[in-house]
Amino acid sequence: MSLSAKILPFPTRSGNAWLSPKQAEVAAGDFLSIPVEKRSDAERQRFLCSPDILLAICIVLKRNRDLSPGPVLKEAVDIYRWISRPDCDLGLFDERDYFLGETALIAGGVCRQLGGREEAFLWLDRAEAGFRHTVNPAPGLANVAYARLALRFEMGRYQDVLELTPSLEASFTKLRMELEASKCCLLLAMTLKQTGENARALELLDGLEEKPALKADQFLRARILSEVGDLHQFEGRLDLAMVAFQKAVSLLEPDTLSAVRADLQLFVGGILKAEGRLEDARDTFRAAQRTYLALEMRPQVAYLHLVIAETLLGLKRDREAEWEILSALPAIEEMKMAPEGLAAVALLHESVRQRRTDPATLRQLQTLLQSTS
Amino acid sequence: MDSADDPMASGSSGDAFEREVRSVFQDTLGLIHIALVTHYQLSESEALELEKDLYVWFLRFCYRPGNSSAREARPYLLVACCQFAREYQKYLLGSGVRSSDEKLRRLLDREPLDVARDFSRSLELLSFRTPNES
Repeated sequence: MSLSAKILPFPTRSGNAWLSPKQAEVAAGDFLSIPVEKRSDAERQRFLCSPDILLAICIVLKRNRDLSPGPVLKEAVDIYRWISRPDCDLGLFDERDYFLGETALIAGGVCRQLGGREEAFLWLDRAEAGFRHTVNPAPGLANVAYARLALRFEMGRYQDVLELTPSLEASFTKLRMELEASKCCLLLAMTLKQTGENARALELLDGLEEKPALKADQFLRARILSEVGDLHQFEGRLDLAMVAFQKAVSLLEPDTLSAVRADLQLFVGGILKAEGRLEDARDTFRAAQRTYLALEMRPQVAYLHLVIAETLLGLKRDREAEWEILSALPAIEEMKMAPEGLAAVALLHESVRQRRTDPATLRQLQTLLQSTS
Repeated sequence: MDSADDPMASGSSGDAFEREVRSVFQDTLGLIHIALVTHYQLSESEALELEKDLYVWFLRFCYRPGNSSAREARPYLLVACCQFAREYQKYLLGSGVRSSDEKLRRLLDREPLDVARDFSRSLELLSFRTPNES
């Protein structure tokens, strides 16, 4: 018997009709243009029960997570809730599980960006549960593992990240997911920066942004360059730092707010501070804070309050510094920081109450809050 | 946005990708048909229906992040084929519409992943015989 046969143009069943990526992208745009709160169940049924449209929606959400994490979270949660209903009839074989994994992974990622760490862990557990039931779970589970490591980084668990990231990078390489492997490399470098191993971090990032797999991802390339610049800055090579920052800025669309742009503003503020231009540094930090605020990235907004406070202390504006710290404390407390973070918050609270801000405690809190997106 | 999971970013290469998936599916269809009809004992018309669904599923599966090429995704196509056929036959047997023989019972007791692994070996043999495929 012959082992190959001619494929006839299949008359597909209703609900399983294949839409081209272009058609699906248009439909995804139509769906996302309906505000979540005004969306009817009939509309959800029409759009979300097509795996092609759902795939296109996931692509749009991933594309926008750096630009507007708040709305992306709202969408991802709405879609997850809809497709997780027991009576939801979606796609073929493992497709429902796959999309549960994808939407939960998106929700987990943006929760992290927005400072909801506990919530992010729960979403990542949901993502894992979805991917585990798919035919090829390895890529999805590896992405979940990466998101968990990024969360650990934000929580200051640097030793965990240093231990686990190389293995994950190897998994991505084995799966030929070059872009994700590069993200691991970046995460590792950022962790090394936190542990003071700047030279090793720079070695890891050397030429990374020029890898062909990253060609179409300007955000990631800009993020890598901004880290390179920050590392040069830490090493006192301010000229090299500025070159890297300028290269990073050139990759971003002008006037578009994004987490990378805010990171860059933060790093440039650091350079200005290192040069002793404290007022310029303060203004640049404020610009970064405004960008984070517009993106609803609360941990970074709180962190910037402390950075600005430290700069204001350098300018001998103690009263303004206290106000900055006071503005940050509610958000820091709400974000359920680690015990050492809470102790630092209490100390700072007390020092502000006594009108004697303790720079060492301020720095300790800053370190705990320092995060990535 | 990660370009790796953005098939729309590739523009017109989407058509080429679809052609590649179709070609890989076509190359594997003979084996799929044998699995469905000879091993899982589906009728010709049932097998044809399942093959249609399998193709649509495989096309979308290849668009998922982490699938570098349709050719390398063939083992997963066979897993899906066995899983779908097993569920379908179990449903028919459970509802009493169809009776089973010992051979089919033994096959349905096995995990689709294991059965697909055996079929994948056939695929390797096929690639060995036609080196231009691999």
